[in-house]
Amino acid sequence: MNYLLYPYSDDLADVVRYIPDYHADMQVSKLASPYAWKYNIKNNENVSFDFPLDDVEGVIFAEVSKKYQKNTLLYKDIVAKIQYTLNSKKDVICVKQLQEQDAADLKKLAQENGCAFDYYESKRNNYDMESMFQTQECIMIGVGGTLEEVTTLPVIVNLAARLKEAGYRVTTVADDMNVSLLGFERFPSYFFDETQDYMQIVHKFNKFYKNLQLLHQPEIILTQIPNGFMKYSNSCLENFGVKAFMLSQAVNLDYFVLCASLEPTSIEEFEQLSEMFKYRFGFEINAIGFSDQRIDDTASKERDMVIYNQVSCDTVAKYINALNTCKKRIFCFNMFDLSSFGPLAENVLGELSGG
Amino acid sequence: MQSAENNKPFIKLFKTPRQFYLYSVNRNTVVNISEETYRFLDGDSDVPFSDDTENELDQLRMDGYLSAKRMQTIRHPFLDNLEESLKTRMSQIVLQVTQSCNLVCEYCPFANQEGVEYRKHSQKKMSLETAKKAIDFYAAHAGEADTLTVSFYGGEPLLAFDLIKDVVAYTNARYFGKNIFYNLTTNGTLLTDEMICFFIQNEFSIMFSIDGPAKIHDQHRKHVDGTGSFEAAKSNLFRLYDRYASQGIKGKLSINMVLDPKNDPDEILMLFDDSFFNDKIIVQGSIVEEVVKDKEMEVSPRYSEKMQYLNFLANADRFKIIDGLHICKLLKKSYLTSDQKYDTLKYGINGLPDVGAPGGPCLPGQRRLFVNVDGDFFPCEKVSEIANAMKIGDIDNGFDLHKIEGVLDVANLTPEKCRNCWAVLHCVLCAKNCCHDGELSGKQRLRNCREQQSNTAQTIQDFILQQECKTIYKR
Repeated sequence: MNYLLYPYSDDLADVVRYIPDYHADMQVSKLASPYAWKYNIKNNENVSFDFPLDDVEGVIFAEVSKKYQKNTLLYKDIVAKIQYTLNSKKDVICVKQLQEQDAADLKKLAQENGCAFDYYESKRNNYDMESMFQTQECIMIGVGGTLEEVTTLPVIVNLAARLKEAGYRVTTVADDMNVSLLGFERFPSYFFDETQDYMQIVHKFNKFYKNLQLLHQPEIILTQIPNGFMKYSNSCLENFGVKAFMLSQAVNLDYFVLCASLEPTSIEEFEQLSEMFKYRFGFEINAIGFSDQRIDDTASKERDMVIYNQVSCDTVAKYINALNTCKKRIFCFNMFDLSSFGPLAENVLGELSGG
Repeated sequence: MQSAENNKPFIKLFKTPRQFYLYSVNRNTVVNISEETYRFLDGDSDVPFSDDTENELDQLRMDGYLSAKRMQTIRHPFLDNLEESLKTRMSQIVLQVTQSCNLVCEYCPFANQEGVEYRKHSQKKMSLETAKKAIDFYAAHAGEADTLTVSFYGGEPLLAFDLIKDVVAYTNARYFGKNIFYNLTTNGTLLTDEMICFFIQNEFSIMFSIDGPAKIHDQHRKHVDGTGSFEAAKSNLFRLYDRYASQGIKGKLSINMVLDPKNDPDEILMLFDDSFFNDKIIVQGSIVEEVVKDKEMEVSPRYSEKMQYLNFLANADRFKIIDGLHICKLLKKSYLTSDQKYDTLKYGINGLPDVGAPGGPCLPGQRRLFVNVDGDFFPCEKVSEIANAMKIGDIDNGFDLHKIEGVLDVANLTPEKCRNCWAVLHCVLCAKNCCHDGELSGKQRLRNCREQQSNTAQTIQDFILQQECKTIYKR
């Protein structure tokens, strides 16, 4: 079935690429995004949603990234477009999280129009089990960002694909609605419930991973680590390290990929950071994926939030090359370069097999 | 070839009643040293040179604190990627929707005062076409940014309320995919119920200009007939606050106080006797001298003395030397900024780079592009609107990269001075401070150096006091 995906942004490129691998009957044939996003979509092929939906059988409504989740104008636009789709008698796959009443209304509208409304939020599995710590039997790989806004999604999606290609049974967990489209597991909602006791969450989280092992029998679990590992400053805390610490208490990571913006940091400093991680979280940094962004310190301090500037691909390549020539044990790569993920997968397998 | 001056350790010495310190530019941090070492470094030839002093000096040299390294080239790092940075990450636009105002404030840059050549005063309003072009230009240059921040500025922007409504409707309809924030700076006297409803609906952040209690505020902020505007501004602010509070968005209201150093600070700060100003609303302050830089400002001795005393009390509170002090809200706000500065001194650096520039200039056009009624571009609303050097483009022709380079690389007006200045890493001078007769001037920049060095010295002294409070003054 052909689908239109809305709203599309570049961070969904990897998800869209791998959808046919996970759903043989599903194909994303069109992408659309709000006009305001047209400038940040690299291939600039996005189209407006405002056309008859004749060429597609349905529409996938993706979740927007965290930074847009409080945007009421955008939310209203998405709900209106879901209504339009259902009224056009087209199926809807809704990964976007909706307010309860809206979800109920849209479900009813779908029934009235005789079309499907596949709402992913209702599929979240919280796996609440009895309290007892469970051992983990498969290999666990973690991927986390230095700060909250540093994306980890390209690493999660591409590394999962490469490990699958290498013949491994991989279960992937990510804090992102959109990867549900790839059959990835999402974090249970209690992980983000601030009213729950931390110890209980850690216990539950341990069971969550155990249950994934029982259900999917994976050889590798690849898990995203939500929120950042570090604070930017005393006023920009970026939820630093709290979830990472909880996760590190629940499971043992065998390999860890840190995603980072491109700051002028030496490999020695990263090794010191790795040492610090070892004592704080119980795992070291095995690889670092760099994005093409650099923190604008002056702007960040003035606006009391982390502001990034774009750096050129050339600068990223030179920087990574310089780090990798240091012959240290941390593997550095460009997370926006698809050709990086083959070597990353080799590094993962090499490290885990003691090579 | 390096001069003898440049072979000397790049340091600045400090002492307190009990201790001696050096600030190393190459480490951007402060080290506690012995009195003998201090005297030796200060060029005192009578200092007895013991083994301990020699060992201490050796250790300081080994750790890089006495490095004589200067930056070889003064060049702003953003210059390397200037065009790219301007293409995708503009963070704010400020629209001058009108140049007219219903008040005639004495220090206003539009008021054509003697010695103040800042802006043209006129009845001009921005056209909707210009405003739309400006918004489109902004959105096209903010592709990588997740937010659009549109600010409305005047004159008095409420005189152009219809235009503001049209701009908001246009922006919401066309750019809803971004998180859109609206700001407005107003004297508050023209606020109506219709405006309040509109501002709530679009969650405007609104900054009122209130300079102090009625006596102080009305000295400058007058209606055309000479009557003061305090009561009107205050009652509108209270009305707006109640409505914002009922919607849970009261945090979007703030006041800006323009402090006139001719006045007695005690009288200015009497504003905070009113619990509304003291407890409920966010306050920020700027000194009138900063607003009208070209004009020599009269500073009363009472003002300087009192402000120094208030700063002392603020430090005593912040460093927990004295409990239970009542600290002026205006000063408390500066704690966070100071903490950021202390953090940089605490963590330090590993040597100056070969190429770099003093801190200070933002990326002109990217941070807060000011578009005047005619569609001309300026780095922000604080710069002189009639200065040729500050006009960095216009709505029809886009950015003038050559001009932006000049505004950004402003330290290159005085490269030798900057290379050898011990406060180079803490300087915040930007092009606004270097403009004279419409052009960028090294001479004008140097006029502000003393103030920068003095502010840096004060920051370092406060940092030292903070450290001493944790150690030798620990209770």
